[in-house]
Amino acid sequence: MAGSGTAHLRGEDDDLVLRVDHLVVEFPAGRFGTVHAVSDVSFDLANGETLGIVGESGCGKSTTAKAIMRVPPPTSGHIRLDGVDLATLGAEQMRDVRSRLQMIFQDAISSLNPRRRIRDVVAEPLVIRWLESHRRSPLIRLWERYVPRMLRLWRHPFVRRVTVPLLVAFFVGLVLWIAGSATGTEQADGTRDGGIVQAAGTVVMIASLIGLAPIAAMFVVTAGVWLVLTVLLPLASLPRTYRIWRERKKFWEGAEVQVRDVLEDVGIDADIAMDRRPHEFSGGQAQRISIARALILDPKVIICDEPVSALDVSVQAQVLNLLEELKEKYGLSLIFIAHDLAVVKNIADRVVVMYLGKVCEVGQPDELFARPRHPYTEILMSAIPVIDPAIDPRAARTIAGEPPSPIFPPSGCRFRTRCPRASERCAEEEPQIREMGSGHYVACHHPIGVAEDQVADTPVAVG
Amino acid sequence: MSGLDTAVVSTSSEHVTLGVDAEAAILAEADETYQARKLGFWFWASVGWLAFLVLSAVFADLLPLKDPMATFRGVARDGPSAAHWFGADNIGHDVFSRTLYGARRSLAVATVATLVGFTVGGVIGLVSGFYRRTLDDAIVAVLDIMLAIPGLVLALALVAFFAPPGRASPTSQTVWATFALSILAVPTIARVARAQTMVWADRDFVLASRTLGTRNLRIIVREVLPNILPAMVSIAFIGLAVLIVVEAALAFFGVGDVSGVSWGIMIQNGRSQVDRAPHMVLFPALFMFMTILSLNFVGDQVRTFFDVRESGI
Amino acid sequence: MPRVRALWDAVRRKPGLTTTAGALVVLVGGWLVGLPMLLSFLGAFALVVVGASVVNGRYVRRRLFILVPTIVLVTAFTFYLENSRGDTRDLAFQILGPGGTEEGVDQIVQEFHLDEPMHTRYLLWLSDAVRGDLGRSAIQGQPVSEVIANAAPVSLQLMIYAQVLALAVAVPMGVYAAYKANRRGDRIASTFALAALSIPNFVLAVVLILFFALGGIRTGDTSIGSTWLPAARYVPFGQDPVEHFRHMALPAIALALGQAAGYMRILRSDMIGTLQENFITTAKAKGVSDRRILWAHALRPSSFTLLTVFGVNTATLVGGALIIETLFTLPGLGTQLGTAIFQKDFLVVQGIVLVIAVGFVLVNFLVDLLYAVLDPRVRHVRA
Repeated sequence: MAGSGTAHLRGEDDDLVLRVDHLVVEFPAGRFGTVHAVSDVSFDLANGETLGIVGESGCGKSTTAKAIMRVPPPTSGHIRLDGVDLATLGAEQMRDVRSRLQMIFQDAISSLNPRRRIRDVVAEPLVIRWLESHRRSPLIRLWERYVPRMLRLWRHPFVRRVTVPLLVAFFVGLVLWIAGSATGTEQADGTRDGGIVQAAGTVVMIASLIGLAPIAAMFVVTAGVWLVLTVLLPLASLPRTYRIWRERKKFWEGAEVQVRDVLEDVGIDADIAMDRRPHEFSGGQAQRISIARALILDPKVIICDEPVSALDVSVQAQVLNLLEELKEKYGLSLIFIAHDLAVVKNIADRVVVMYLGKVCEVGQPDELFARPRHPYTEILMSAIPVIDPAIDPRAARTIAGEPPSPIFPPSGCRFRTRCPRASERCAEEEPQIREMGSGHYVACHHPIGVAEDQVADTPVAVG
Repeated sequence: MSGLDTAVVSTSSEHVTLGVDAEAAILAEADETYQARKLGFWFWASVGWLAFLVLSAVFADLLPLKDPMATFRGVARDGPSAAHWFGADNIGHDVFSRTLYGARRSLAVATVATLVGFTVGGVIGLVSGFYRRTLDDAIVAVLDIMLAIPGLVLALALVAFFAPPGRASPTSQTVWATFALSILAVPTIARVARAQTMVWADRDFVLASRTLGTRNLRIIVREVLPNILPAMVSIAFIGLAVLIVVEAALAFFGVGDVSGVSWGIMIQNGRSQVDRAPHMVLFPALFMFMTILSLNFVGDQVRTFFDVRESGI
Repeated sequence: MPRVRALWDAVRRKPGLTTTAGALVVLVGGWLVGLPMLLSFLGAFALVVVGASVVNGRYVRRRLFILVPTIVLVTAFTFYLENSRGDTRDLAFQILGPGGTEEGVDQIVQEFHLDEPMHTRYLLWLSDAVRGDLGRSAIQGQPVSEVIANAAPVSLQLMIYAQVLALAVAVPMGVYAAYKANRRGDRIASTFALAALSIPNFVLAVVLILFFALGGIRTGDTSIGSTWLPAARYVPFGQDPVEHFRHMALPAIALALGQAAGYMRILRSDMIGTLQENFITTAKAKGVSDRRILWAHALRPSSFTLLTVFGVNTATLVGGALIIETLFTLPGLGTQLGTAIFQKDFLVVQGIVLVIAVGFVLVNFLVDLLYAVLDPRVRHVRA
């Protein structure tokens, strides 16, 4: 299953709110190499739809969510919100866009600052928007454009590759000089002549110092510039600070109303809750508050990263119902990430199954449950406990072992190491996503329920 | 992180790796079994003692105390009496008033140094813990090297070289003493701030804040800082205790301004007389002990109190 | 041959333990045999590094890289500090002391290369230092290395006694306090610890001297106190063991008390945490006795913070316990350093600072090795 391909993406004329194309997220993992968290994943979200993303831990679902929110931005790929590619936006514009794209997290209580009161926490998005609406002085904007660039100079691998050896060389030279001097012959004036070792030491030291000089100069310049600017900045921002301070009261009056409204919408009693701190609430309530925070800017899309996984089952139902309600009321589209399929079945209109950074199967939940085409999906489905005494749980298929490491993913189809249907072809060739029936897409060389000879010919449509 | 108990540092002035024990305790994670959550009687008693000390140091001139520098005839080495509550020292000074005036200097120098250390160390630790990578590595290396020199030796060396007794003015000596003490305070406070920042900056609410597009400065100040403050305040109290001891140790060595009165000077003077006039040493020592004990205790309780509140138990 | 092989197997199986033991043997043996201090130090250090790199090479290599720069920076810093005030002729006058003549000053300038720029002087000093020639004390006239060689054993003994004493008191008390967490026994123990921590150790020293050496407080004819233990002078172990310990008792106690209190609290805190873990509950359920649980199961995982702090303290005390030594007039590194700073005898200061820096790093290495011994996870996981 290594779901590459975009066959399952819908056309431009469909009312698409979000479209993710060829998303790749990789991070360096120290000396082990790179973690391929997400490798070429594509999906789209239509207006008013709930898209479920399911998979085991480590399949890259949360990473995908964070990549969409650009915290941190993905390694490559296009994310289009209402047709606008987010990667093309500058920092300022991105901040504007953020009001349309919000996120809620798995552990609700820890996603709220324990030292702040609920009113502040829920109002925070409004505060940010309000603060950003006041233009900063040109000096500050200059600082913001150039200082990060300047600082990024230092991150350039060249700097590290050059500086460390030079520093080491300096100390090596020092050691040589000392060794030479220590074992040398005593001169008349009390110094020692260490001969060639000492001379070599001096040469190495001087050479490394010369090499380090430009770096040191660069350091001094950047540090100086940074220092001067940082000292001047507060002064430059005084007018804006003053303006903001003047408007405080008016802003907070308005904000209070909005906070109350949104808390009411999520079913929290504002009078009781507003002045309390997060730890005074239960998990379910905290999640509601978190949802309130996400709603207050009236977004178009909310990404829900396993929002109910940490809650009791009864509370899960409440929160899920709330989400449905709010979807209607606020006209939202949701991306719902979960590992619990029973939950996803209830809430999602469409489901993407992920494994080890790739897409396995895409389709409607009922279809996926009744007729899973991908071996992985089938195994996931059969893992759902079903309360029926007639069914012997031991007959359910399970997967052996643990998922392979994302640093060294298997070649070809990434699921092949645990797949009961794997063949040689699966090791050589990465399966592309293709259609298996209306709205049902699979990335597999040997999908379930399809005769072998039919498999190879289905064309790959490019979305 | 719930309540820890070992945030108290040894006031052994030998290794003024300020609050190493305290810092280690804050960095380690241990669960306490149920403990009294309220700030009990002893807490307020300690606060009371500290308040008394601060007030009497600040308002010493207004209190009906005898002149600390005046010598009284015929009472040399006398023990506590009605006229001299703590007795008199070998020259005839009134020990009681000297003890109260002595608090001034000890507290002033140590408090200023702690404040400076708190601010500078806090900023360094915050920045280092938040931005990580190379900057963090560099700062940690510098802090480690700073901690390699035994604190008292460093302080002594700094003051002895830059404001030698007998050659530099008293003000300059006091300034250098304060500066040396601040240098001692910075690494430990910075390490605590850094460790705490690293813990809190990883939490989901910081991530949530980023998804809102919050700028880094606001995240640091509004989200991270309020959460690291309890640990930092706690170690500041403890650090203050240690710095009081170091200041006294410096005075003990005759370094820093010795023309005035301070507990260290009193103990140094009294040392040679300790068998004939033990009260010369015992009273300032007692005051010092109680002050340090109170500071340690308050620092400890502050941290426990805040930790517990946040975990909501 | 089989014996050798058995030995080699033992080394391979427990590299940390054997190399530490080996290092200690080299140190003590070298001192007894009369090897120059520097050589035995180097030998011990080499063994420690070998042991550490067998256990976890990458980490050791990284720490090794910082070693030389640290020592260089620390010594360079002190060098700069000392020589920063006054010009060279002033310094020469100071070295010469009262009654210095112009020719004397010239000679001093020559001898100490005072007219060279600072970095040259520093490098000259450093290259001499590596050979073991740390210069000559201007005030005392002896070679600095001799001064250090005479003073170091005193400080080391004090440190060892104090640390051993501190651990001997702290570990049982800490375990006990954790066992009785938050109940009466713990409250009493913890209060004691807090009080002990709060006494500045020079104050404690003076009080101890008062009560144990000078006869205590006398009111009229009665007195509370004794004169058992002396408070001054130093008697080397070789000369008279009993007197040696009698003279070292008070200083060691003065130093140990505060440390013990700190260690006890750390151990208590960590242990309370460990005792709440599942594997302890399992052990209890299996019927293991409380005593065994405490000492055989819970103690080891709880000792890491303690080990760290212990290590840092030891490393710092290598440089002598300045105040205690001065108070009890023990001729250790601390007193030497103190007087040298005041008398501006900077070669002595430099030499002692070098010893401190080297000792500090060495002890930290030892601590890391010990980590590997105590915690098998560290051996393989450390990045």
